[in-house]
Amino acid sequence: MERTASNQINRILFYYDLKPYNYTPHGQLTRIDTIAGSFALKEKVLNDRQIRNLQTVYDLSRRLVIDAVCPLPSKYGDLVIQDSGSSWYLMPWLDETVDDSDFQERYRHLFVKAGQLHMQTRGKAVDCTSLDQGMMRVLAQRQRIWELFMYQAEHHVYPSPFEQAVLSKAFIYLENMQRARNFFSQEKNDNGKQKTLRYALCHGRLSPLHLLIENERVRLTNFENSEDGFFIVETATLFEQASAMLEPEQANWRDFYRSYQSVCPLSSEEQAFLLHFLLFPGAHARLLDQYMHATNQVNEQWFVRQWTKLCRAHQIMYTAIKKEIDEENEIRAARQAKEKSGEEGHAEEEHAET
Amino acid sequence: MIDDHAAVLSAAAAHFNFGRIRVVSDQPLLIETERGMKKIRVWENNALLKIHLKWRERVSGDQFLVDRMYVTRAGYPLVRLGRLSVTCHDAPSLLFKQEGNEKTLAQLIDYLFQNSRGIPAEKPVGSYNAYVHQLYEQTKNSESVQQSEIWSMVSACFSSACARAETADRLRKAHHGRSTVFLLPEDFSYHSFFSLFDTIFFEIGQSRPVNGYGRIAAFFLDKSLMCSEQSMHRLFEAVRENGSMDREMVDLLLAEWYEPAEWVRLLHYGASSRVQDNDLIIQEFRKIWDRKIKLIKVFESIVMQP
Repeated sequence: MERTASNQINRILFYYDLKPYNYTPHGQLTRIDTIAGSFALKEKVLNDRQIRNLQTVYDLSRRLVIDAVCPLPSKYGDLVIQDSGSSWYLMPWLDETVDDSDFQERYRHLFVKAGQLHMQTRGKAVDCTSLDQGMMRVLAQRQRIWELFMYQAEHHVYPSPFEQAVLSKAFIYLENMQRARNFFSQEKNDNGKQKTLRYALCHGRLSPLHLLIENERVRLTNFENSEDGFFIVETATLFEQASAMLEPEQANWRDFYRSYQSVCPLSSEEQAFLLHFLLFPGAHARLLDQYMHATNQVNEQWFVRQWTKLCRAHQIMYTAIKKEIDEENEIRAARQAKEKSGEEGHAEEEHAET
Repeated sequence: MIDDHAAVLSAAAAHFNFGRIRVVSDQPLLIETERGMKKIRVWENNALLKIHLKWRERVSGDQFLVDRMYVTRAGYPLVRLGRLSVTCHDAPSLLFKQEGNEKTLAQLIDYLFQNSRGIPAEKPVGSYNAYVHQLYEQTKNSESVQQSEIWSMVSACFSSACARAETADRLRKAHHGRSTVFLLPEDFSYHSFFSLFDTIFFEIGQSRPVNGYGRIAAFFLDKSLMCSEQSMHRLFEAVRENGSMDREMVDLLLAEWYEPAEWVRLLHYGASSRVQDNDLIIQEFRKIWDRKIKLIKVFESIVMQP
């Protein structure tokens, strides 16, 4: 019995009692047109854990806790169909109104949706010692790449243009990494208490392409890697990713930060984590590593251009977020001082009356 | 029952989200809906339903389709209707054509060997040899059987039947005491297989799960009577190529063929005074007896090859 591709699609759609009159490949998806509507069929290799993650998000979405585009359940109740060694799932087809390449617009929505996801599923603050230890390991790994690069560059009689470009900025990044190391190695916060951060459901693969925008309706999708975790890590990673993806002058970082903060206000400890996480960007270390491991003729110009862009974008992003957080903290401190003086004045008045 | 019938249909329409329903047949209950033909099953035995739900979970895979339960709007695989439970299933109509598709059939059989396992509904059989002896001794003294043509055949084959029963007992003995065994539905037959989009749709149905070796042995026997010899060869070769038939499977399958059940049936006919057509019965007995011996030889020559 020979198996054909068209019958495979029909077999998958049999799980949904759907009979297609047309189907067309659309990138990684297949658009399925039926008399019951249009659907997106996706083939992907998923493990049991990823299928369980999809089920969790489906349950949350069904209870309207989060707004997500989830796989549709089959007539047997499965979210994922297993067929011939692969996994398939069906979703409603959305005609997107924002182009895939419009990253600026997509990131603008993504920060809001990420904030909503974290806010709607957040839990209590818990001890984050293990996270700090993990951060120290990541930091050490990136520091090693820097040290290796510096060692090689400093031993060249004539450093290459890229090496010169990196060396000129190295002292800033090495100092930043040291500041981050100091922060993550502290066991207590500024108030002398155990450091804590909040848990929430994290998407796991936040990306401007894992967002479906249809007019005013914006929803996250591709939740197979989602799991509970310290959500500030996902937020910080998103900022880092956006700085590597967007053109330096293109992004309005203060707006991104404000839009996230307005739906999911960060605690002072989370803000401190974010600022220190952004001090040792992964994209920079990856570029250095790529340069060191380049086997063919190295395109110096390309590396220099990438480096300049990354540094500029990172500087703009970091400065903007830092400024925003500082201003926020100043306003908060002023408000607290005002409240305190108000309370003291009130107490003095009461005292004078008695 | 008419009230029950109406209630079942109304529950199916409401819970399984069917817009329109037209009853096509009552036994089994087949309904035509806007989403195609569906089979509605009514369960009086909830324990059996529970077994079937778990069984389907184990048997469902990515290679074949199984008559799984549809879920209701609320996500449950059944609808409670007083003491009854109602489930909804697919109802494909195109029977699987075995001739020429032996490889696919062998893959399904192999898959069932691996995954359709559990505790059978019936108790394990004792010594078949003792049963054959006991039955023969009990019946032979009856005066009515002595003169019949059937009884002559029963007597002539007694020693062979004992030898076969002994072989069956010996083959089974090595695999006694297993906690789970290979299971198949009690009504398993070639009517359990349908063709659907280049694959087999296997209908587990609603009957008790019983020792699968007996059912699959009977299935192979029926197939050998219906299909060509080449088809049988191709099926056994495909089973061998899959490579997952272990000693237990081979022994227990052979034991089913060695078991002289056709001789026991003949003995019962011989003891009955109502039998009309002796020749036809003897002819049928000979056909199955010879076919089993041939099947054992073919199976051993193909599947048990080193």
